[in-house]
Formats: sequence, structure tokens, C-alpha cells
Amino acid sequence: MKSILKNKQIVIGGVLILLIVLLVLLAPLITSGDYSSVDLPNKHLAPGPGHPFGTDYYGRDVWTRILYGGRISLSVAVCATLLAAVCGTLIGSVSAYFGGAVDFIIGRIMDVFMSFPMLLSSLIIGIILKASVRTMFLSIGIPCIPMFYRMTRSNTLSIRERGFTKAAVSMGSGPMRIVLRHILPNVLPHILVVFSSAMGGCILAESSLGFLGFGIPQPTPSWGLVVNEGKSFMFQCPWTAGFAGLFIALTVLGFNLLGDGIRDYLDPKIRNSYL
Amino acid sequence: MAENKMLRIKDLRVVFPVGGKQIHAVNGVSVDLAPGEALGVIGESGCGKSVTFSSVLKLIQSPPAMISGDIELNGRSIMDLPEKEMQKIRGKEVSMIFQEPMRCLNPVEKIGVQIAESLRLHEGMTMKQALNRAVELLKMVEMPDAEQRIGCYPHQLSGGLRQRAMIAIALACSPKLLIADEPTTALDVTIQSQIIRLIQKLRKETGMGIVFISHDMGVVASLVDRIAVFYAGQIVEQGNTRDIFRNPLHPYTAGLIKCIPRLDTESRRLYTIRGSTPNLTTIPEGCCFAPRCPYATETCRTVKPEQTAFPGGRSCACHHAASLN
Ligand SMILES: Nc1ncnc2c1ncn2[C@@H]1O[C@H](COP(=O)(O)OP(=O)(O)OP(=O)(O)O)[C@@H](O)[C@H]1O
Ligand SMILES: [Mg+2]
Repeated sequence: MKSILKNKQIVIGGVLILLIVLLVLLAPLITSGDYSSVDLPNKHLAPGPGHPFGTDYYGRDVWTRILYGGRISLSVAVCATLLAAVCGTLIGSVSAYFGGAVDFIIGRIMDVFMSFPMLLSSLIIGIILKASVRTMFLSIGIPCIPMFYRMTRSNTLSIRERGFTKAAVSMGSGPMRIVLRHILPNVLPHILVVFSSAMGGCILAESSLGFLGFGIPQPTPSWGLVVNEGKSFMFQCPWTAGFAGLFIALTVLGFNLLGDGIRDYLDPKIRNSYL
Repeated sequence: MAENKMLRIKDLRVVFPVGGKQIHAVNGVSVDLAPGEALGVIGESGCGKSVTFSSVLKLIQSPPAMISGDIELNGRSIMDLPEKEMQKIRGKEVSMIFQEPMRCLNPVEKIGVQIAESLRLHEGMTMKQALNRAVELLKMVEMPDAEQRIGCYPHQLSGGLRQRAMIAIALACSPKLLIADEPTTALDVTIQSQIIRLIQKLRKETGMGIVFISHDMGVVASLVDRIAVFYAGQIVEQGNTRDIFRNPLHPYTAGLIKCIPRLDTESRRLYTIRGSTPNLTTIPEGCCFAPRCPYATETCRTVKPEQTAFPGGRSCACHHAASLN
């Protein structure tokens, strides 16, 4: 456990994410809490006392909107990634373990998914589902399933050939038991790595959709929406889009660092314990 | 039914289609085992020992493999048993331990939990009961500090201890037959003899039957009642351990015995059987050992030798078996 703190990527990424999560959680204490009421006389105020990040076109406090937006953006990303992780991992391990026609058909469906840019799939799913705050995570999460599917499938294929699955079969374990007890726990470290980078990806996807105007509908703020609103006044008041963009970038960076760090940290360990 | 047999393999054939060719891994093997009997299975690498006895638990995927013949456990044929029924037999009636103790344990699960798994599966024990039993089992396989070891992960144990843990897992549900597939090959010599002695002791205590697979005649000699010698997917000779060592009938068996390094003779170099292992993609017309046999004649190359019975429950597939002695 000590050696995990020696990994700079994990520490920096972890601290970054922790800070942002903390800010977002503490939003009611450290902001006015009012992210939606319009105050036209005070529109486009530059950052200063009372409005640390300035105000936007409607005179709303950008600091408040970003922290409350973070609640939405982060929870959408967490739900989306969880959805993708659970589905992708289960489909991937079952498909690889059973092989044959099941594996072939699932593989082709995933290929079709992967041949679309993720953002496009998100858009299409979002439009079909008429995404709201509640269902937004579906349109972002579903396109991420192939990421987890591919990783789990290839790892399952190699773990299936290792002696201990054969030994478990020879002791009378059924296929589901083998997948759940013997294969998935050994894939778990790899899942963590993909999970972390998928979190970054989902935050970006939510922001991109918001920026394009297909994100979470008004008036609930999300990071994508704040950037979208700020973009028309990029030159009069760059702080709106700028600060929101900064939060997005730092969060994505945090998750990517964390993912890379976990991979580096686990790699020699994996090799050792598997020998 | 002459007498009750625990295991009866009749004319087993296993063919693997690989890249347009067919590998005849097992080529008409017949062998049986009385309850509590210990059978040694000997043969070079690749002669089909593992495939034959993995078939007893139906561990060979078919398709792609083509399996024919018959295998009976306690008088019941398993060839048409559905997978669900096989799961009840595996680990309960028949257990198997494998060559590489390091690869056969799940690296992310504690030893105790791995032993408990089959107890919970077959005996319906709770985790707590199963863990208590796991400690007893580890004591039975002479694992030092059994109480602490159940909390260990496999990589914290040495190779010998891992093999003991494997044996504990295999014996958890007191199977009537243990198939040990080269359980000592990956271990060094002292650990090897410890494990052999342990298996000997466990056999006395439990009365289970044992199939002990090895490519080392010396290793099995002290452990088994009977020996079956495999060559190219067939059994070329079987008989009581004593008889086989005293008076091998098949030239291949004689060669294997000569291969055991001995300290009491003057010979300078180790004996080797000339030639290389046979190609399994084609079945030869005559005796499969003929190309390497010092006594091979024209008949050997063209006519397949039949299994012939010899006094003392022995059998041998060689045209010259009677005359060579
Ligand atoms: N799944 C498989 N697909 C194709 N060929 C196989 C398969 N399993 C085994 N074989 C082939 O069958 C033959 C017999 O293999 P087997 O593992 O039974 O040998 P063995 O006698 O146990 O040898 P060893 O002493 O090395 O364990 C080998 O030539 C091997 O290449
Ligand atoms: Mg083998």
C-alpha cells in the first residue's frame, strides 16, 4: 500500500480528482447555491469579489454554475462508466468463455458499434431516447461498452487457457462459477485501468454533447452546457467557457493520470502473482 | 461383468483435427482399474497419457476432438452423460491433479477459499464449515502451520507447498479415484520424493484408487501395483509392477527400464532409445514402435501386433514378446 504512493501519476491524478469531487460535494457551503436565477443588470461581470469566476450572459454566478454542473457531469459520467463496465465485462467474459457462434455474433455487433465515432453513437442514442438528465448516462455509456468488452474478452481468452480454470473445471465447477469466481477477479485490475480512462472519456463526451447543444437540457447546469452558453461570448467574457473548460480538462487529466498510474503500478504485480 | 471395476476404458480413441490434419492422440486404449488399485502410466512426452485420463473426466472439448470408445465409472458409462452430471462426478468421485502446481491455483484467491470451493459445491457446506475442514485437509497433506496457510495466496507458497495445497483440494471430497498427472515433474528431487511418500500415505489412509501418470519409471515403481506403458497413443504393455521390472516383454518397456540412471553399474553413459517420438498424424500399418525397435522384422513393419495376454494378468502388443525372453 505504501508503494502505491510512490507512483506520481496515481498521486497527482488522485489528488486532482479528490479536490474536484470535494469542491463539487461542498457546493452548497462554498457557493451562493443559486445557479439559475437571472440577474440581468449584473451580466458579464469579470471575476472579482462576490463572483470569483464572474457572471454569465444572464448574470448568473459562474462559480456556482460550475460546481453544481460538476455534480451533474460527474454523476452522469460515473453512471455511464458503470453501465459500460458492467455490461462490457459481462458480455466480454461470457462471449470469450463460451466461444463459438455466440462469440462470433457478439463480436460483429461490437465491431459495428466501434466503426462509428463514439460521439456520433452518443448523439444517435441520445436522439432516439430523447435524453433527459435521467437517461443521459445511457447515451454516453452504451458507446463505451465495446472498450470494456474488448479488454475483458482478450483477457478472458488468455486466462481461460491458464491451469487454474482447467483445475476448477476438473473439480466440478460450472461455467458461470468459473467466469465469476476465477476469470473476472483476475481481469479486475485491467477493468480498473479502463474504468479510469473511460471516466475521462465520458466527461468529455458529456461536455461535447452539451457544447453541441444535445446535452442535458436547460436549466440544469452541466459542464458541457456552461461551455456551450459561454461560447457565444468567448471574446466579451472568456471566463464562462474558460473556467468550465478548465474544470473539464483537469478532471479528464486526473482520470487519465490515475488510469495510467494504476496500469504501471499493477503491471509488475500482475506478472509476479501470475507466475 | 467379470468383477467390479472402478474404472474401465474400452478401445478409447481421440482424434484432434488440426489445420487439415488429424492427430491421433489416443489410438485404441483399453485399461481398467479395481477399487483402491494404483495404476502407473508411463510413456514419453506426447504419447497421449494426459489426453486418455482427461477423457475420464470429459475434460477434452469435443468437438473439435473426436472421441470414440467407452469409459465406465463404477459400471456406468460416462460417454453420453450430460455436462451437468459430469460436474457432479468431477472432484467428488474422481479428482485430478496436474503437472504445474503454480498455474493450477487461482492467483487472486486465498488457499483456504480454494479448498473450500469444492466442499461447498459438492458437500453443501457453509464457508465456515468448509474452512474448518480445509485446515484439517492441509494438516492431512502435512502442510506446516495449516491454520495460517489457509489465509495465504498461492504466490506466498513454495512449489512443494502449492502441490500439497493442490492435493488437499483434490482430496477435499474424498474421491474414490485420484488421477495424478505428473504431479512431481515440476518439482525438485527431494520435494518430489516427499510428495510421492505423501501420496503413498494418503492412499493407505483413504483406500482410494490412483492413476499416477509419469514419464519416469523410477518415480512410479514404489507407488503403484500395476503399470501401463503408453507408446504413440496405445498401450504396448501392462502388468504388475514387479513383473514389468523383472521381465519386460516389450522392447520399448525394456528400453525405458534401461533408461533409469543407475549408480550400481559401470556404464559410462546414459542409455537412450534411438530415434524420435512418432508422428501421430498417420497410423502406421504395422507396429508403431517398429521404426525404433532393435528387433524389428518385416512382419513388424507390415502387420499390426494384437494385445496378447500373458500369465499373471499381463498383456503386451509385440510380435516377438514371447520369443525375446
Ligand atoms: N487440444 C489439443 N489439440 C490438438 N492436439 C492436442 C490437444 N491436446 C493434446 N494434443 C496432442 O495429443 C498428443 C498427446 O498429448 P498428451 O498431452 O496426452 O501427451 P502426454 O503423454 O500427456 O505428454 P506429456 O508427458 O508431455 O504430458 C500430443 O501430440 C499433443 O500434441
Ligand atoms: Mg501430459
